[in-house]
Amino acid sequence: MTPEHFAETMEAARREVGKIIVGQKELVETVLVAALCEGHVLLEGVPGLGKTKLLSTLGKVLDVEFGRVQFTPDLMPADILGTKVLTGNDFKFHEGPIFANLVLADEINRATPKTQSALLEAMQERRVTLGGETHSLPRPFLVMATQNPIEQEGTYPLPEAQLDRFLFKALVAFPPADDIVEILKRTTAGAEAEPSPAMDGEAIIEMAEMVRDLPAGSHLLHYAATLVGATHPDNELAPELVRRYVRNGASPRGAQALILGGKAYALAAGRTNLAAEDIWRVAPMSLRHRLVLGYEALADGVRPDQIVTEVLEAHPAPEPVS
Amino acid sequence: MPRLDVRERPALPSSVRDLVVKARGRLLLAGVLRWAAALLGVAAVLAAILVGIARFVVIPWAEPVAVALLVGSVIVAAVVALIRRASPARAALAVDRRLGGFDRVTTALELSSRIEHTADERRQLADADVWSTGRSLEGFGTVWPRRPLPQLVIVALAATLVMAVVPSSADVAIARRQAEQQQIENEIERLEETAAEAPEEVRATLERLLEELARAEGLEQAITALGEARQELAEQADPAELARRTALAGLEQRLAQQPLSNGETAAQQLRDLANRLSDASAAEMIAAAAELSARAEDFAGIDQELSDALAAAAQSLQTAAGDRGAAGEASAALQAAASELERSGEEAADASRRGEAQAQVRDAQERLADAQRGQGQGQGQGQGQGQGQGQGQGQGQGQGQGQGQGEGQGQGQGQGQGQGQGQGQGQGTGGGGGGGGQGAGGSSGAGSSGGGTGSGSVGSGSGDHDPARDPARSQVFDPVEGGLGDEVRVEVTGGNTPGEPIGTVTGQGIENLPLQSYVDRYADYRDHALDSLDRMVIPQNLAELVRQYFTELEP
Repeated sequence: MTPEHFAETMEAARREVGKIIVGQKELVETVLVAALCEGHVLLEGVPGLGKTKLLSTLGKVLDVEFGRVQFTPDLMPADILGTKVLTGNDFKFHEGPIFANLVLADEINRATPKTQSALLEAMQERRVTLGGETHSLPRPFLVMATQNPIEQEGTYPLPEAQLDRFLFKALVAFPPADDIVEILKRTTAGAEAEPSPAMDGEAIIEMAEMVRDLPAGSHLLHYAATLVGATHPDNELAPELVRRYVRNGASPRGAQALILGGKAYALAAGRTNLAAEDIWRVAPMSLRHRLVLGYEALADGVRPDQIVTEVLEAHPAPEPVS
Repeated sequence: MPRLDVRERPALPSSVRDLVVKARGRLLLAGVLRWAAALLGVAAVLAAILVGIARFVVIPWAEPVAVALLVGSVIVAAVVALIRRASPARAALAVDRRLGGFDRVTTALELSSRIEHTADERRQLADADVWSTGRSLEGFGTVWPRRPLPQLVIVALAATLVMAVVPSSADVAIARRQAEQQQIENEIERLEETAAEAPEEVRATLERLLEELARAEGLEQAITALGEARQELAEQADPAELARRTALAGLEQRLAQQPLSNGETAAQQLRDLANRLSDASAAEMIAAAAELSARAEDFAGIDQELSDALAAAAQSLQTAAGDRGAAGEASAALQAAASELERSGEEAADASRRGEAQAQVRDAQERLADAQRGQGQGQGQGQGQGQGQGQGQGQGQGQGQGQGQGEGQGQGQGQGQGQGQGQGQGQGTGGGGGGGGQGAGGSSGAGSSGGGTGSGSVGSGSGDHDPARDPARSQVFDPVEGGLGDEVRVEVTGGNTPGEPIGTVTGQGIENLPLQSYVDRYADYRDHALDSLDRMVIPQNLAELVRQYFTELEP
């Protein structure tokens, strides 16, 4: 596959998703890029903005095995991972909905932390260990989760360790009026369109490998490391906003997300190498959920995206590597 | 990344390499200009401050230092820019950022340092090649520093230039100081020649004086040093020196006209007489004894040793005239008198050289004092109206800035208002001449100052009397060089009855007086008088009166 073919495939996927999802082009791009990085995505937005619809559509466009879990307060880990059931004289493992290529974890923050944590090993190691037995998850394995804003009733905040396992966190904004009108047209009259598959599991794996193989200059690797380092309040590169409001900065997974996501964006644009512009683009979605803000930020109304913007302004461009 | 020069990477597409090299050159030029503007700006501001201060305070090194600052800043800027020259990687990054290369060039540059490449890397290199081919640096950005730095530099440079070019009071002071130094150096050269020929004691004094003059920071100090040296030389002088020189000259003149024996000098005659004493007649011995006895009296109280030797020789000759056996003793006495005469002559010569040195020091002091007065007046005059005037009388030359006046012979130099009298006084050059009782002199002057410039008018003067052509003053009696008049005998009358002769007095008459040129003798006369002034403590106004007297007498 060439970068041009990669870009064409991406464009086809966008087009197919666009048949169902009105507007939200950035969000669609983010989800597609995460899929091609074999990364997990957390979508945050108030109910009714089409988060679940987007991910279910994505499952059809990607043409992979799709599993959906509706997280509720009484959801148990076994309801996600699976369980052993006595069949005849033996216990046999019955796979849960997580054994799919694309898992939709809907309203993930409505489950208890214990249930949320059941996803930890699966998301990072891409396997499930139950009763001493380890079961590998299929490839590609993508977790696309949605969550309601933490201020909503009946939500449990995701633990930092789990948040860190999401490649991107995308914010779903309320659509503009024109988009709402278009939504009404599509959903209140006639038959709803059906998306066609734009790629399959093998294509996703091939594209994901292509993403990983894309050349990236060492200056950009240093740049990603600099940006992540600058999110730590005790780092000498940290800007003032970070020192004042951030309690814990982004982990190395944040730098991985910057590079990997940037590469996917570069390929999606038909380019043959990673660029600083790609890193700038993925920085907010890669870093915002990895910052642990202090109470001062809460009191002053400082959002993680402001911190990320500050970091990018403090380090606007990569430096040559000596 | 290995430190491989950008030109030595075979995998790097030539288009990418050319682009990086061009960008690097552009960055170097921009760096030179940026550093030059920054450093030149700082240097120009400092130079402007320095030159500005130097307009009010005399700082002789201000302008050279200002120039050095400006030149040095440009050199430092070039050196710093070269040292901080952008690396190929930085140049590649600049291309990517400024021309929208999306890190193609930087990544290709890095990949080119590897020996083997993957398919993706080769694809990247090819893509970078395609992107770089035919691409110019249009849009790369200007090499000129951002405003308003260049404007500030230009303003600071202009201010420095204006303040350096437009003359100020400090510039005038510097010029005056340089002129002073030049005058002092001129006097040092003259006095060095004098010191070389002076007696040892005088030489030591002059050498100390030369050292002080070399250290002098202005005319004031130089004049003070010269005054102290004059005082020291005056203390070294013998008050009876003039009398001895006069007596020695009289002796030489006398023996030249009425020789005792063969020989050009008195000492040679004495020695010759001593050598042939055995052949001399008694009358000749008595005559010689009388002559020597008379000369011994001349030196009494002036050079007692010489007087005693001459008296002893006269006595020996008197004895030898009656007793030929005492001729040997007389011969020895004559030889001793000759030696004393030579010694006295040598001492007189030393004294003469001391006097010359003293005169040189005095002349130097007066020249510097005149120059100092001229400068002070010239400054005031220049500021006011910048006029020049000159006057001359008799033969004289004078030139000056501002107002100048010259009288008499000689040349003088100075600035501003100057007044010259006699030799070496006044400033400037001019020409004048007179004949038949009429004289004309002239001087020209020009004055300039911060307040304006002016030109001096050529002055002229007339002299109603030329002493060189005045029969009454053209010849003067000179006993030193010309000897005395013819000896005359005068009968003295008196006693108990009028007209009764009571004796005869022998003396030098006024017939055939040795007259010398007044012009030739005047300078020597004046020098002796001024030497005497130096040795005596008299009120300043009286000293001035004496000087004025000689000025009046000046031929």
